[in-house]
Amino acid sequence: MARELNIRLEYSSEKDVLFISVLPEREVETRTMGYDHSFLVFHEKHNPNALVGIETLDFTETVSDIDLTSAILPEFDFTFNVIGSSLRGVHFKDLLKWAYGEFVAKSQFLEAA
Amino acid sequence: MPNQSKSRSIVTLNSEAEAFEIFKQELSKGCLEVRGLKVSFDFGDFSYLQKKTDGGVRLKRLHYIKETLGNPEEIRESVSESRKEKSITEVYINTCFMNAHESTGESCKVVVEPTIDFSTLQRVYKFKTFYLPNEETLIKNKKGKMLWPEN
Repeated sequence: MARELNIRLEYSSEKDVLFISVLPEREVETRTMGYDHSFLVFHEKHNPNALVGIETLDFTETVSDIDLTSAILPEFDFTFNVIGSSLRGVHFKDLLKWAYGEFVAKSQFLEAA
Repeated sequence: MPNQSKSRSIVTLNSEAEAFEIFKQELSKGCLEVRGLKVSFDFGDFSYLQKKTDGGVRLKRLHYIKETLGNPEEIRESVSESRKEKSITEVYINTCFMNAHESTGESCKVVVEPTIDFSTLQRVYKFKTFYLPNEETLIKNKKGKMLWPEN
């Protein structure tokens, strides 16, 4: 069974970045795995398996392209639980789709209403 | 071939309390990169760098940004082939040292997006991100087309 990580999500509409913080949040020396400048995966400096956070840059554009370009998605050996929601045990791709609905599509719908 | 004009980047860390003032002084008005082109920042970039998604490493290394733009080891093109609309960014790669005696230093990358300033019709750059890459990412970036120094 895949290991589960508890995470906190935050979206900046100004910068169009989705911030994923792995809980408990910690200040620690990190290094970064960059995927096509769309995803930045921060891990502990001396332990690539210890994930600290993930950023999705150009979030709106990236997520709308995902189904066609899944090759650029980082692969993780674990699933995610989103704190403050009922979302549990989701894979990264589904997490992004859910976040898109929550942070982008919902606000666009509310603005239009 | 090593970049002959490159000087060693000796850059101190800053405290979190100093970070906003450093951003204001060094970056908020824009700064010139090594080829003399302007790189622009806005205060949203500071909000971005303040996030602790990265464990808090970038906020303590704000001096790295200006140093890397002005005194990089190299600049590489990065083409996002996987997007519907191909996007091109430029990646400034550098190694920053805390003092003159340090031997290994820290690799860092500043990524900018080329754009046009429509008021002057000049080519300018917009800051996109900055981070400390791991070895695998650094190797990958060094495969991009070399933009500077020119052969």
